[in-house]
Amino acid sequence: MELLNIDETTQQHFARIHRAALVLCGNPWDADDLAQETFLVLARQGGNFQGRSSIYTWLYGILLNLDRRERRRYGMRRRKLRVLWDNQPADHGTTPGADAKAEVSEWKKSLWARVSLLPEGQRQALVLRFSEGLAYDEIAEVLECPLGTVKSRIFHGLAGLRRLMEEEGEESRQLPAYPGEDLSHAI
Amino acid sequence: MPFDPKLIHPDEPPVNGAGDLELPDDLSALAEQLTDDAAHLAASYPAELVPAELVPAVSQAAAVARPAIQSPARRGLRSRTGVALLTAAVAAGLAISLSVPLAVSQWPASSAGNPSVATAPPAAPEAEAPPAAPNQGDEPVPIKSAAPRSQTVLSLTELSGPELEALLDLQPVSASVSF
Repeated sequence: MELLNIDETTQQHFARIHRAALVLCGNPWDADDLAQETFLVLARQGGNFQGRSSIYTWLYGILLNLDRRERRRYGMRRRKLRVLWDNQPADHGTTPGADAKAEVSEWKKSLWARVSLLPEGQRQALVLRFSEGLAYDEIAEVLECPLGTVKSRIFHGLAGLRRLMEEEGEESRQLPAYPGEDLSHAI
Repeated sequence: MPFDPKLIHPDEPPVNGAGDLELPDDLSALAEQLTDDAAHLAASYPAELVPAELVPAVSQAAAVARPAIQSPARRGLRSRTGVALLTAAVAAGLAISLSVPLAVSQWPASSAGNPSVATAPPAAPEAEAPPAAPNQGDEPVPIKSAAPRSQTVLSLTELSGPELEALLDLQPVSASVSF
């Protein structure tokens, strides 16, 4: 088994892992952290790489696991803080809390912000397919699921995305118009 | 006629004969937009060239995690390389520390254009010039610079008053000179 050249692998694949991390988390700072942590994990576990798959599918697997862990931590923090918030008097301030995730406007305006609301399996499949351009069999390898499951997740993920867009469209149509306002130009 | 039920799973995605997904037009449009949005995000926030601190950290993590996997030949090569780098760093540091006082001590000689200046090589910290003869007026006087292991020979008769005073200031405190 040939030893993995960690430095060369880092140089070669950092950009693509960073791109996937950016799409997953919505801001470049968390994307930097996720991408760097991915390669640190690779460095610690590089000896386990058997060479049966391509190195970038292995890297995507590490990245998705790290992202899943971060989402769970964020959700746990939110739930813990909500216990405190519930005991506080209602505050109708407009500034976001300190625990709010920072997301860049380009991401918020893109479809990836809606993809983040989908179930985890569908979200990951869509990222690997339409952001990273992986083939179905490569996605199956990363997600460790059958090929049929990958196609199902992609299809239902897109359908769920369409449903979210329709719901947003209905909400925007229900907004009361100011007198004289031309809603035809509303975004 | 045998009973041959064709089970239809409503959740299965539509696939064509080649096994690829057959997406309706609206879902295909969404898929294209996802790809475009991802490209736009990557262009807006590109990954900087691998962070300067990441590669050493990754290498260090790899070295800590897998010391036993390396073959003895590679370990020997790495240790020799490390020793060579360390030696080069020490030599460079000593050269720098010696060349600064040498440059200072050569200032009066260079301004006077004294061709009789003889200096010890700065890259040889172990070298030490032999002690010169006692001061005999016009004889060149060995003056020890701030670096303890090098000596500069100057001809005092060719130096002006301010230059002599500067030389005196550079001498160690223990040296006693009187006019």
